[in-house]
Amino acid sequence: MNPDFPIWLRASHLINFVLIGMLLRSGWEILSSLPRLWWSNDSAPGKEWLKFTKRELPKEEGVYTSLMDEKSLHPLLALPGRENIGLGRHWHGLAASLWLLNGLVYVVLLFATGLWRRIIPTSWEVFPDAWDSLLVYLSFRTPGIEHFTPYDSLQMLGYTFVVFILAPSMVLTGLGMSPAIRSRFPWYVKALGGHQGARSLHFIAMVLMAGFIVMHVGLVFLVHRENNLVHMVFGDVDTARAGQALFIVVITIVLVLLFWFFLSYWSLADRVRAHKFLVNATEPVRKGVFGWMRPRGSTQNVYTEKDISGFHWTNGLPPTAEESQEWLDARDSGDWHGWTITIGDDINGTEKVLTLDDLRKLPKHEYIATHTCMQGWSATSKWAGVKLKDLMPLLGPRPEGANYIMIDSYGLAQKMYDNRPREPFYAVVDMDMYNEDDTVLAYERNGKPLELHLGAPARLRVESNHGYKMVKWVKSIRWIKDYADYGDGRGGTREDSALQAFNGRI
Amino acid sequence: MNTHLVSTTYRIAGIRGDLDVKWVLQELFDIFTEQGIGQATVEIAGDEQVLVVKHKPDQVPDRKVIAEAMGKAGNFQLLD
Repeated sequence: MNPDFPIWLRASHLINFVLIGMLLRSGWEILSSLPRLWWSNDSAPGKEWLKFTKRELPKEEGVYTSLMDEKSLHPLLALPGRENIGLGRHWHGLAASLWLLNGLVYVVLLFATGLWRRIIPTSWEVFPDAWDSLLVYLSFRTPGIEHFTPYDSLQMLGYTFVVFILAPSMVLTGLGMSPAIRSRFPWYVKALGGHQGARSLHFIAMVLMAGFIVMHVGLVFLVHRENNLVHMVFGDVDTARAGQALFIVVITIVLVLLFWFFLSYWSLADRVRAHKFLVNATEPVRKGVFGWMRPRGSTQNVYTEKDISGFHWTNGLPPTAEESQEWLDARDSGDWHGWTITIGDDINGTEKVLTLDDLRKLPKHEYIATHTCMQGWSATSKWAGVKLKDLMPLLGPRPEGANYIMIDSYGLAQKMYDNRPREPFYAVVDMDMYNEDDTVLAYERNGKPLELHLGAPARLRVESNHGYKMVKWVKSIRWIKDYADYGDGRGGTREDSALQAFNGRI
Repeated sequence: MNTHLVSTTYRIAGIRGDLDVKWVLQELFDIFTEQGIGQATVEIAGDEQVLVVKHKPDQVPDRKVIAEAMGKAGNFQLLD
């Protein structure tokens, strides 16, 4: 057995192959939900630097909903495919967690065993040598086997770049899209160029990784194939078993492809089952990594009025007459005369009805924050309203047995899981989210009354989470025992219909 | 900006499940902007199937265009 290719190295290489395929496919699922990329943080129509759709969008705010931009990818290409961003995000999270773990084990062992010297250059000679190799390849020749000890200089530079620069970049830019990280460490996300900068850089890193994979696999088969295959399969240098190695590699590739496709079709066969498995598998990481991060909207000075976006997408449009004539009457009355919000306790059956003036009399909390939709668009605004933890005590102390707060809307959901007639849009927050300073019933944006399409007269803000938690056109806020008793039992309209996770911190 | 929107409901037929809903909506999404449609939902209640679209009051979607888009998606019909 050659010491350059121990079993741990070959095992981590195979695991990496499986996981990176899952990452790429689930990443394409996420991108297909909003197939546009921006550098500017207001992600305005017409300002994309790259898009994968021919659909034109209206330039006017508030007349379309971002779900209409979703494209449907085939399950053979995406994980799982067919407009399932919720499940795509969970697969991405699971694969990313395992990929990171595999990568860390690999790097630790690489240094612990001294094998890092095979990959990381220790002499500046690597650059002229790599250039010579490149010239040989560009003239459609291959460097002699004596150049590979076991890697040549071009490989060393390539592998060092991919392992120590590109892979960490993918992780760091991916994390930069977490609302929990953004609201707790806004300087980090701003350094990446904001949410859109992080998203675009993550995409570019994905393209580089995909390009590397194509090139790497191609060269394995084109340049000293027998040697490469026995290295990879048997950890050997004796090419006598190259035929066996090739057979095993081909079978492995076929099995891995079938596994990837199986994941898609297994997910689609029973999406609720897939949601349950994936959310349970990823929640420990979600909670452990992001659960302690508390938003600091009003105490941060990274995002200022200069960052306020000129354009704000929306998901879901204001109620129409068939949804709530009551809301329409209040809208048309002038200053929301007649509009009320109910705060309640579903456990004991008590409630209190409040007006907009009642909300305005409560302590006002104001801060600047970036809103992100899990689809990928974003906008920065100055929000003002009353903290939930200042509002609910109007009803009395937290009721015994109340574990969650449920917020529902005058507006109906855009879609139900089984396409049954729409029910009121709702979301649920847990006690951690409730107690955060930037969990607010907002009635002002950018110093003015909240716009209709953004939730007037009052909407929820939960800055540590993605926008699907942030109910617009709020009708009631109630203490409940368990969200399993409401809707389809997953803790909110987007959790029920689109299989998002209850914990929306990434 | 505070644009007031309205809903129009159409009876449709041919939807057999969630995948059909997605095919129909994907074709409709392609014509949303030109037709002034902001949001579309398919609702199924027993044998009754409806398409509810939200749009500006002065931009009523063209029924023929909607029917054509649905037809492109498959054997789906706009009834009234």
